[in-house]
Amino acid sequence: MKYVFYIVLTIILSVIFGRCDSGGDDICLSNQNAAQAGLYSAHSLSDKDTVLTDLYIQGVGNDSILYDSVAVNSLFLPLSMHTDTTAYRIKVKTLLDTIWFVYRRDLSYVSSSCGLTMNIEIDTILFTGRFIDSVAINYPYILYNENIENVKIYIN
Amino acid sequence: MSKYILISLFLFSLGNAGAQTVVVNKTEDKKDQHGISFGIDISPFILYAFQPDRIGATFLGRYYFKRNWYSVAEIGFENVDFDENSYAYTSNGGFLKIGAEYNFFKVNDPSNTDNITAGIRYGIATQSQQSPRYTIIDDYWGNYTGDIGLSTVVSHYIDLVAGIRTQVFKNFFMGWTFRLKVLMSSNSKTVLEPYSIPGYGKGDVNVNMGFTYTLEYQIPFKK
Repeated sequence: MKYVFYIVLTIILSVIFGRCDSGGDDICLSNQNAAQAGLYSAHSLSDKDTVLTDLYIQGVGNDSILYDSVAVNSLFLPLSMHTDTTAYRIKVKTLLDTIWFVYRRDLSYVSSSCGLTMNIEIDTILFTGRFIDSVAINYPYILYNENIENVKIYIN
Repeated sequence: MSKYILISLFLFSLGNAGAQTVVVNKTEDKKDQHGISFGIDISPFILYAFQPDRIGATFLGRYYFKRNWYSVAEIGFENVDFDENSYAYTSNGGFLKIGAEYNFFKVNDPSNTDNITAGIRYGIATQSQQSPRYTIIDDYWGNYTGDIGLSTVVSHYIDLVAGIRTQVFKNFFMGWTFRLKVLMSSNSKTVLEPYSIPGYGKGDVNVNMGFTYTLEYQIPFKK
């Protein structure tokens, strides 16, 4: 009986300490490569949220529609990790604009259990001006587990 | 003596060891603990049953060089190999630890060779690691996959060790140690950090806990 006790105790201690010093069970985040954009009125001196209704957004070169007939005041725009430029077509009612994000990619380590992520630094934003008045980069870095508005899009 | 019996019974009484230790044997003196011991830590083998992606072994040498002081060296290896959704990873590495231990357990019973020890080790580990495949999820543009080639990582760390050790048969010892491990440096040259540092454990934290269960044979060394 003593043997059993010591063997079980040794196994328990080995496993407890062994588990402690190996990769944990962190909650891993995915789709961390999206630029967060806020929509603001171009007619206000101070930043004033504006809501776009009947909004369609589709990535250039991507068959799937990202936003389909929705009303929003902020956007999550995934930037492709395969290239340094991502373009989106944004349609509001009958007006269509295109916006280009030019950025740098930087592979980064998250943790032993979650692996790697792609950090992004937005360099330049280009756009056509049908209903977009102007664009400002608020915070150029798109980093793992950060929730910060990267871009302000001012709407006519 | 009663304290000793209690500790013996609680921790060490494998078979007849607990009963034997209370018998004072005047013919054996404390020199029973003089000598060089060689041992193996069997806790990695127990852990392997629960975590088959890590396999390793640790061997140790112990030398009683001064009253109640031991010098200790440990050498071992650890290999890691797994393939999960986020990334696949392999590492082959080894480590060396050197240090000293002090025995706090003082009794008048000359046949008593049990130890309660505290000590410190300096450890150095080297490992060769790579990620044959990693995947970063993007549901809109498609997942990004790549690989990170072989690189060598050298790490330095300190183990603070507290342990208990007893003679279960003539010249055969067993012991447990609990460890607080502090990482001093680890110099990965690529973006990939070690999943596990040999002899240290989880690679992305600065402090780890550890446990060993060692079996040792002492080569008698009479002065």
